[in-house]
Amino acid sequence: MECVLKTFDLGKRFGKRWAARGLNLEVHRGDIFCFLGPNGAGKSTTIRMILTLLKPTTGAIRLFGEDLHKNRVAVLSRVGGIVEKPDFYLFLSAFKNLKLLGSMTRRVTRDEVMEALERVGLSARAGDKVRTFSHGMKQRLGIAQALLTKPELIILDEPTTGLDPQGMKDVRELIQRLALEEGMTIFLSSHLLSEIEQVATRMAVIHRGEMKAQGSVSELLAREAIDYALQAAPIEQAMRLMQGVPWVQVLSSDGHMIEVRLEPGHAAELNKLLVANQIEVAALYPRRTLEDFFLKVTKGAPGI
Amino acid sequence: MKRFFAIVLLLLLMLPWPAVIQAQGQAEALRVLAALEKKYAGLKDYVVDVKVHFAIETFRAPDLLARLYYKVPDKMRIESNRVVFFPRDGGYFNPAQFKQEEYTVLPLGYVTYNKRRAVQLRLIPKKIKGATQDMVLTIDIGKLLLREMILSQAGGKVIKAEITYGTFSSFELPTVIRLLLDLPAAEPGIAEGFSGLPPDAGEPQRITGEIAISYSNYQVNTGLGDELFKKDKSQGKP
Amino acid sequence: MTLFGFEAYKTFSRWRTYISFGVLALIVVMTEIVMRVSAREIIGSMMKIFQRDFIIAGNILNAWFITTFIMNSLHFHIPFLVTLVAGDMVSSEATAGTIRFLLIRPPSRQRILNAKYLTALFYTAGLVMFFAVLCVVLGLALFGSGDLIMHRLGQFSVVFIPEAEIPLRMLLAFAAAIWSMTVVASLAFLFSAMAENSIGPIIGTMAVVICFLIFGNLPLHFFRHLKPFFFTTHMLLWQGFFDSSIRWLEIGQSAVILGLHNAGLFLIASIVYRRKDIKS
Repeated sequence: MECVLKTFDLGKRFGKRWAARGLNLEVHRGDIFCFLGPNGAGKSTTIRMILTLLKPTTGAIRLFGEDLHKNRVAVLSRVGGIVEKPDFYLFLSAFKNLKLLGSMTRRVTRDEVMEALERVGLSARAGDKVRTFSHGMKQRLGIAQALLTKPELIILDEPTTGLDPQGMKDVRELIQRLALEEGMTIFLSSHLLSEIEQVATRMAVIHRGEMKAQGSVSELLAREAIDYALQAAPIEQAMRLMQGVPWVQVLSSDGHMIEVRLEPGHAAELNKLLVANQIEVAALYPRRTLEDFFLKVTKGAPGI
Repeated sequence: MKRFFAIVLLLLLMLPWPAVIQAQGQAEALRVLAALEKKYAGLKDYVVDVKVHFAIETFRAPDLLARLYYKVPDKMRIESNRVVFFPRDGGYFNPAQFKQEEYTVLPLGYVTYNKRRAVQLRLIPKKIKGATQDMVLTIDIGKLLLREMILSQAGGKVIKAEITYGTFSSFELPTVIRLLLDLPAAEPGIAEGFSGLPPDAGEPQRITGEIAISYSNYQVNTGLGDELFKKDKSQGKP
Repeated sequence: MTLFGFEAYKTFSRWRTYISFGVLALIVVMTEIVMRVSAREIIGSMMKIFQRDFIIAGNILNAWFITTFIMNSLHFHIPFLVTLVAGDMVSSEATAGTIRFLLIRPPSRQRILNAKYLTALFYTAGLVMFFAVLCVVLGLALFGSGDLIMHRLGQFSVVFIPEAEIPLRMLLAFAAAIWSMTVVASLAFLFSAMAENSIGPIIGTMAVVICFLIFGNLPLHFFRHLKPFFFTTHMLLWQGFFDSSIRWLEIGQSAVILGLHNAGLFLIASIVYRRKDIKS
């Protein structure tokens, strides 16, 4: 699979403090790559290095197979992004902001600007000065400017900050659409785990400047023993069957639902076992969330 | 008898001869001034074209052209469609300016000026009107012409005017007046230039140079009206 | 060129850019009206040293005289107005946060900085040209034309410049004035490239200009010796066009010194900005 973004031992030091260190990120074409970390973990520092706002202290960045600093123009013209707050020229209209910013990458037409605004639901406010926009509208305008030149890689730093629930949902859907329908690669940083859980295909977790985990979401979540909810009938028969299996531990049962803990990679096997014993499986789904995973890896556990 | 002559001689020696001589010189001076005034008594007005040439290091200007109007006793006007700096004192010929009653006249003696006999008079204004505090005139006695004029002015300014004449409508009028200036470089009390610095030690403290005024195309006694000399703000006395 | 257009559009879209033009217009209009009303008094005080000795005829208080009179204050008010915009040119992007959108675009920082610097120079030139046009046009309307009399206040020193020569000399003088003001713009631009807010560069630039002007004018020999090395001294190169014969050599030297200042200041700004980490 083509690697759109790859970093090699990437690090940034401010004074004596390393904000990011030894990062080896890999983002593949078509990924919705989520970059997770608590506040101050080094997410923004990393994104700033990828977007040339900060000069790395160590390491290198390759985008589309080319060295970022040697081929800046060619590489960055294929990238769109937002870093932290979407700050625009307040004294200019939304349309003019996009037109001017877009023209720094390539010539953009009026239709392209309007299309980008339409995508984020701001076409009706195209002529209004950004000064009059709410934070949520600016956030959407930020996404519009990232999309404007139809980049192959979009880097979004906390794109849903300040949006209302509907806005967040819209952005999530937009991100999925961009990846699935338009083949764009999305690099997304956030600390909103629920949001990431719903869209991410791959992810990396960073904590105190160091990488704690990287891989596909399902892969990462499936690597450790994990709790599942099981709805099966007849329930007593299922309970009896599972008590004799070494890789299953029954935790509780309320008469309708059984909570079990499985060793990594046994979910499908359990399903198969139950069905083979004429037990009807109505539902089997993980109870362990990304949040659990995140909290575990960011509490000093060794990298996964 | 011998004794008598000795006494007479002694008495004669005791007489105030310098006073007598001075009184005689004073009378001569007044007579010359009166003759000069009488000579030009028929000059009522004149109009003349002037060209002012500056040869002063700190006064860099091209030759300035203007028309000068004069009417007795002291009316004068300069007209030009361009900017003109015209010397106020000594720059134009005004024979009516040496009225005896306005000055204390002191004879300074006789000199030879251009191989001609001339008298030097010192005129001290009884009432100072302008900048001039004192003037020394050199007058050709035979021709009754004012040949030279040295003006001493407030602030240590000295202006010497040398006058060359020609004859126009039976009047001898200046064709050239050369003004030799010796002036302080700066206005007293104002020590600043563009830079705000007082003059440097290397800068000259006095300005010397020459202004030559040429006169041509005299029109004499054309009957200039007084309205021509109505107070012009830009030409008024300081 | 696109980047320059972008920067110029941004700069001239902000109303604060026009404050300078407004202030300048106010200064010129007020000065000229006051001079029109008090013409005799002004001539009296300026020409005092000559009026004792000369009858002054003709239109001295003309548009050209007024223009050069106002130009003498050029190194006080225009630097401040230039600084307002040039000092804000780079730092305002950091203050507003727009720098993050700007620098993640393909053009290099150097190209962006070039465009901004060019815009600062363009604005400076525009401001001085506006000043020139306003001074001359309003001056001609209120005072008419005539020969130009340049003099040093309180000194027996005059230079007459014939009316026919004035337009060309005026043009050259204003070109020189633009060139001298670009140094102020460069200085403000350097501070702007170093700072993350606009107040610092504005105050810093004005502090430097005022200090150099004061040092250059202090009646102390120590500063007199240093004066030729102050850029503020060479900022008066425009006055060389109003001498009886144009002092080309001195003007050329000053122009080169100012040019070297511009190049040096912009070079430092470039080095600083290219290495700068954008943390805002």
